[in-house]
Amino acid sequence: MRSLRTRLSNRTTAVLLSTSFIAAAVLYLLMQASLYREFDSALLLEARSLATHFEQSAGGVQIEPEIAALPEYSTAEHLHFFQVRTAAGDSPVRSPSLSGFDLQSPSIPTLQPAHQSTILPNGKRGRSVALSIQPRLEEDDEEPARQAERPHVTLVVARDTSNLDATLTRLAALLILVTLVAAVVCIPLTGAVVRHELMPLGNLAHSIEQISAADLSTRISVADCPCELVPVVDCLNQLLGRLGQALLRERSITADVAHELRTPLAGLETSLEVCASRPREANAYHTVVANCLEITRGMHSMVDSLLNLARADADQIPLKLESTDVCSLVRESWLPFAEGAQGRDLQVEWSLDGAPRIFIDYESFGRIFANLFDNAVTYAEPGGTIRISVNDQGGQVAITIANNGCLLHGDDVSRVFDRFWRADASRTATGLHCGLGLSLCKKLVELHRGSMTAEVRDGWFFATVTMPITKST
Amino acid sequence: MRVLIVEDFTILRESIALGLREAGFAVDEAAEGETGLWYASTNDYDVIVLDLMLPRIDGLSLLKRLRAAGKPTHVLILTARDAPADRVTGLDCGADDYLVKPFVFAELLARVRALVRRRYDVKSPLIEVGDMQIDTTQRCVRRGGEVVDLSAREYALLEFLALRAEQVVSRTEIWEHVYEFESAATSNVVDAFIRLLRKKIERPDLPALIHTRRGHGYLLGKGS
Repeated sequence: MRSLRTRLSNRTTAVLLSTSFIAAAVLYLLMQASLYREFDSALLLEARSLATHFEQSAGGVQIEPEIAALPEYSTAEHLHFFQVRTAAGDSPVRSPSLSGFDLQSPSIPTLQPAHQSTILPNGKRGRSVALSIQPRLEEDDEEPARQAERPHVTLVVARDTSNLDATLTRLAALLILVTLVAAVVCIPLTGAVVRHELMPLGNLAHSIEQISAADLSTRISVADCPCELVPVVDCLNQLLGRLGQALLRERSITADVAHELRTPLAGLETSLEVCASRPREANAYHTVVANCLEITRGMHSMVDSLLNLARADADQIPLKLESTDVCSLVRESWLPFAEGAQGRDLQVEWSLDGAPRIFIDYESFGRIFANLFDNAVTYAEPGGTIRISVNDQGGQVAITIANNGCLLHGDDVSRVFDRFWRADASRTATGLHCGLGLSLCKKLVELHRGSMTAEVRDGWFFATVTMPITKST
Repeated sequence: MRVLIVEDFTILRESIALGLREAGFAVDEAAEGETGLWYASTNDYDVIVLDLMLPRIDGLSLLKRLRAAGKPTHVLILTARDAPADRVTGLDCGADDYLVKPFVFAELLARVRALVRRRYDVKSPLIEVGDMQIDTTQRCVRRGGEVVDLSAREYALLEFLALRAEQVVSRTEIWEHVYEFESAATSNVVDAFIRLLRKKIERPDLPALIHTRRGHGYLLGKGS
């Protein structure tokens, strides 16, 4: 695609040139019409004055001999011609300059003077006017009645238009010359003007070029922008803002992931390096293998959580919505944790209303409950209590999992859904509790158009999932 | 040489401890900040390997409190935080070295050895006492050109005495620097090990190197 500048220059030049050519043509035609009109009126004046010199005698129409002898009518060179035609079609009088030729005249005589272009006997172009006249009678004293009976004849007067045509030709040449000069000046001038006026676009491109991928905090100034570019610049700035935020989020997640992987990696590397430093008994190898396996599982679980979060962020978790009995799903999800809870001497209090079935993805909700139970069993104080309740709240179902022995503060609660956030820096179960579980739960619940909240009250931590009851979410 | 490891990730802590013990160090372990601070305050460690993200008391607070209490123990920070700002903060809080996880264990070992040398104001890893040479990197001892075969404990004892050559070292100091917190060693054990060490080092044809200073302790050197 050609550049905007070239296209603008070419189009503007084309429009300018065609406009000037049309203007020149119109000017020429107007001048021509005006000159011809002037010529015609002079010709008519001449014809009218000539008409007074004709008289009707017994022998026909005659012109006063001194008029016919005037030099302009007597020779072809003087370029003035006249001729009289009777209704019968004969021509009783004509100027000597015609040398016996006929002037063209309208076939039907008209009362109004009729102008037309004509070819003169000398072969040149001319203008003629045909006028209907009544030559006066020879005897001046005739009674008016007879005067009125005078026959009408057509007087055709013609004049050479050579001078006029030459003037018009000069005018045409002048106009063409002026237009061509204008064109020659106009083409580079238009290019320069367009280039100058398109400078803001170039400046904008330069500003955009200056923005590096590493720093998206720069904004393009709208101060010097023409108003047509302001919406574009605004959109670009908004896009930069969104990109910058996404990049920041991405970087912080990457840094967090790297950071979270460093400690288990250090564990793996040191265990293996120390173990390999000398020959050992089989038991020692078994211990190291078991330890490394534990670390690897932790890392595996973290990577799974991250992957699920990334998929949830990109709406790529396929939800197979099925009518589900929440109470039985909650009971079923608890089973793998019952042993762990017993091991920590935890009491479990159940409060399951007969909640209506809701449309949810069985697998996703299984994962949500597993996460919440895992947290409750891990963080409840030893010998403490876990409360699991499902309530039909009319229009929505609230599933709450609570544990006591919570050490979180009010400020911490707002952060529990942040990725990689942990209340305690402790990594007693590195990888298994890397601070991704609750963010994944919240994301999954939101994908189901439900909501998830966390609350701390009197040393109890409450995680509540609220799902609307609809025919199908 | 006695080292304290404060690290909450059990597998990592135990691996480092095993590696250091096998390198001849006496190692104590703490899984969280509070215990770590108590160990560090009540013992005279040569080096403390300190994680930063710890339960109860985090590593930096531990370090600040240790320094505020006037403890000059050399501290090596071992952490997953790798930003230059974190390193600066760590060193400015009074740490002597900084190592980022994951790390190569041999490097950790070398840095710990370097910190030990620094503590006793020794520049070279090769210590010479009279006609005896101790290569602290290879953990190899030669006397009169012949290699002396020592157990890990004997070597640790000899290295400690050699680092403080020509100085009287008390039984308590030996006990504190060569034996672990949880071991049942007493000063009598120290005497027993000194006897074993003498048997391997002293030769009738060469001047004595280990001298007993009654009521004070032992001295390694010419003893004049």
